[in-house]
Amino acid sequence: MAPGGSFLLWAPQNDPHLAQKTMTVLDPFLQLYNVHKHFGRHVVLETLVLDVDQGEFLFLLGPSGCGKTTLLRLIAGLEPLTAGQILQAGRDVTRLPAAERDFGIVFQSYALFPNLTVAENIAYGLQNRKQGRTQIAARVQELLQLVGLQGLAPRYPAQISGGQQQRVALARALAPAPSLLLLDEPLSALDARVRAGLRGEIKSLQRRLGITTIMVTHDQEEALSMADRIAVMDQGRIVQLDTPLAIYQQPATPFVADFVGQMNFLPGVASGEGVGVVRTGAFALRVQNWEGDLVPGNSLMLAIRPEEIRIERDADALSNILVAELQAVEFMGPVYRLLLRHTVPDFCNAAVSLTLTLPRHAAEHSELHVGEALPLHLPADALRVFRTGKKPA
Amino acid sequence: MSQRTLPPGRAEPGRLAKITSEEWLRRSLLLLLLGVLLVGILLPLVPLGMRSLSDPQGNFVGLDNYVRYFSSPGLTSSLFNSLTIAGKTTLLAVGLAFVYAWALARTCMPGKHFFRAVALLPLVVPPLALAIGLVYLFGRKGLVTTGFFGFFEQNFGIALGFDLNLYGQNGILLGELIYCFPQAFLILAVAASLADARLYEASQVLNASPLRTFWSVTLPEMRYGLISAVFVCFTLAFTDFGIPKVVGGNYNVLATDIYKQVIGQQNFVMGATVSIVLLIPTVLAFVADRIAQRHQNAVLTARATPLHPRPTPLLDRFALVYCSLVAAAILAVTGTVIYASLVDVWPYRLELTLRHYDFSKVGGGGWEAYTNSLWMAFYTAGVGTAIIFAGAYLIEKNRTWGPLRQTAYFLSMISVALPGLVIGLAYIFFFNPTHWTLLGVEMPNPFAGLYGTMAILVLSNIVHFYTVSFMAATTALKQIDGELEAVSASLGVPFYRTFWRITLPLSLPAVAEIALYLFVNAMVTVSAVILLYSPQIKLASVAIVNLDDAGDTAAAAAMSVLVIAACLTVRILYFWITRPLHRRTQAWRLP
Repeated sequence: MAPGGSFLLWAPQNDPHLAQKTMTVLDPFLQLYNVHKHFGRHVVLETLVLDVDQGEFLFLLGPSGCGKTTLLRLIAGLEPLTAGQILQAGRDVTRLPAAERDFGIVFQSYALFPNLTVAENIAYGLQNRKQGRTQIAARVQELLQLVGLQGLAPRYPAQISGGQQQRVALARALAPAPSLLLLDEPLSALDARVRAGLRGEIKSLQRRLGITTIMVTHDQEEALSMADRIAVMDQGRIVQLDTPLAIYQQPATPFVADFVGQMNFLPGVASGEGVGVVRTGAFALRVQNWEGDLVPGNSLMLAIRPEEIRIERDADALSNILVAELQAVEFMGPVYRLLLRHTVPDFCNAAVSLTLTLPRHAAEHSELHVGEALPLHLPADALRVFRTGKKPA
Repeated sequence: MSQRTLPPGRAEPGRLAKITSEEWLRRSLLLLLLGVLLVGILLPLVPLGMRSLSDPQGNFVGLDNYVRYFSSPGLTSSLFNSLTIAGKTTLLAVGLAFVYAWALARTCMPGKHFFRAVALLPLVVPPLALAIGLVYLFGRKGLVTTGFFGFFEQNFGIALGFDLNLYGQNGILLGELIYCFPQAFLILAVAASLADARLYEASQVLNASPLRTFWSVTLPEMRYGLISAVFVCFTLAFTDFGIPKVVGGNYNVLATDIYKQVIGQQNFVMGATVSIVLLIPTVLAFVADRIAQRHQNAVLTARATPLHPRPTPLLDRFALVYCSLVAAAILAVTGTVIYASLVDVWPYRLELTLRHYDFSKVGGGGWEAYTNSLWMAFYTAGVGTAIIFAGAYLIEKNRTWGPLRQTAYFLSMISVALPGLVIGLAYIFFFNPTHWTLLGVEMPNPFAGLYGTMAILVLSNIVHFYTVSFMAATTALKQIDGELEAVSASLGVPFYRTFWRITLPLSLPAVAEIALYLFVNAMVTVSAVILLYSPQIKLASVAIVNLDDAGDTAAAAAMSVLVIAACLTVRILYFWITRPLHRRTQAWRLP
């Protein structure tokens, strides 16, 4: 899927401003061509292509070791690339040292200067630009206001909380008004409550300033809730680049399906009973997103999100029914999680675990008994088909 | 997604890495550092090695000198003697220091601060002064030898005199023991304080006896400290010159041989040969230590909980008695030097006088030598700290020119393996000639002007004490998050500005520590400078040797006291100055 096209299709409903911007700006703001990086013999990034649009909030999402942080450091010029080219605002920055590029960066460790006060930290990048004292002071005040830290100016980093430190780091990165903001897991060192609050703040700040932003994270929830687009990375490659919704609903590979959100996998065989029918054990399931070239007998993998599965007591009325044994019920707060087991005789009687989430009140009304066989409805439009017969680990 | 190629005309093709003016500066500084290290450490060793392979006329004779050395029993016995002294000293000093450090870290004995200070006292005492203290205690007219000047005989009718037979192996061993003890103690005290309480609790829960806990937890925990202490003590005792010079008598060691060959007989060829013989075991010890330390992963993980010793009356009392005995020995030797410097005529007229501090009637250079030493120590501390810290910074916080940085690192580490006398002799060969002859080609020596100046004394001291300071600087720099530099670069701030505003202030405690270390060592050292000082620039530590040689032992003691006083003053000044400094630049550490 071409990034530009898909973007328009999936433009967030609540931001016409951004969509319009994308249509008027012709060239992407940041362009990576065949970027390649290896340390010794170890390949970290494999011929990677990526365009980032002006004003876009792009996420690099992946498990640790997938190369996402290395990619960010390449963009920053903190690490030399082995091959390829990087253009920023039409300018070739491939060989420029970090100091000659135009970006601000925030690290997971905040990397605040411990011996400088909050105000001095923010002013650090301004003092080099031949600005007057009053001008700098005014800019520092402006930034303190922007991140909501007025009054903390004379404190040292060790004297303020983690969340406040991260805001200072953000203000310091934004102080010289860079055209690109790089965030390297900025929230992962914070505790859950602070993290959730800062998510919204960073997002709205980014909107307000319209600054092109790339953020690295391994937290899929963070990426889904904040990103304009997400580049899901695995083993040095971008495996899918799309909007959060598209990545959640139409994961391109089993890896993406499993890494972003929760996913149930069911082994199956393309059946001759009609187009889009898959056999899994004794059950036949109809699938909507069918790829035409599947031949009967092809083994494949079905995938469905836990919240899409429904318990149907009067199963006769519906097709796409599968019966599984209820193994355990876990209380998760707002929802219950049901763990079920389904046996597939075709696959050496392999037991397949299924997970299902039910809102609390729904679960409390359905009289669930561990050990009972539950008929499950798997809607045809919620089922995804993957050609590879393997479920990712 | 398919791979794309760059559309034509979209952007200029990638050039070679752009080298900014900042990068040029960084590289020039790195080259400068490498130049200093080459001239200070590596290059002078070349003529030293060459000289040991030549005859006095400069003709190449292969290993002839070594054959001559090893076939002369007078000389080889010195090698054996040096090894004996080093071996015994190491065993005793490490053993004594181990128990001392363990007692301070793991028992609840009282007076820990006091005992720690006393253990470190010999660090500010020139080794020569320790030897002089021993002479006043155990020499022919020594306090102990004469039974407190016949005090017991006169009052109780029993002669309690005890003759240790000081001059010879006994004296050297005793002196080296006091000299090496604080060095071993410093290393072992750190090792002993790095205890993980969880291991001791586990051992206790498993019902292990205290002895078993000691064998299975304490010793393994301290083994890297022990290994380090062993190599440090061995090297120090093996290469020390001052103590054998004063109390060695006819017991020759390698260090005194070099001095006799060079100063006594002007036999530079044999001096160079003995230097290489002296160098080999120290380099081996250095390599062995490096290999051993490479296996040391963090003994203490971040999750370790510190161990707080619990009172055990019997053990605490034993520790107190033990530490008191050791401390008494150290204080006795140091105190005797001070006392002897104030006594009119030892041991006949014990009236107190300051006349020995008037050096006008004795040789050695007197107060002028003392002032010279103070300036030398001052320059060594100032210039040395600047070079060493900046050097460590360039090596540690730099990404360009990997092989060059590794070379600089290697040179910075190797200097610890060079004994002072070897540095001194190598400097003579390297800096003295007006012309170098290299493979038959003669070229003028660009550094000839340095010879006989204060500069060469300062350089020799910096090189002599480079490695320990360098390691302290590197450790301090490693503690600073590397991302601070990345952030600065992203803000377009040049590296030297970040160095000045962030890196240096954060490392200030380490910087002050290095300066103090260099000052004290430049004050007390004798080995390198005794071969390099000129008649115009006499030095206090050298004066102690010469005064003692001339029989003016009381004046030598007085000069020793002056050196000790300077070192203690600077230490106290350091404490005074760094406290407010700490408060200002380290304010961020406060909650």
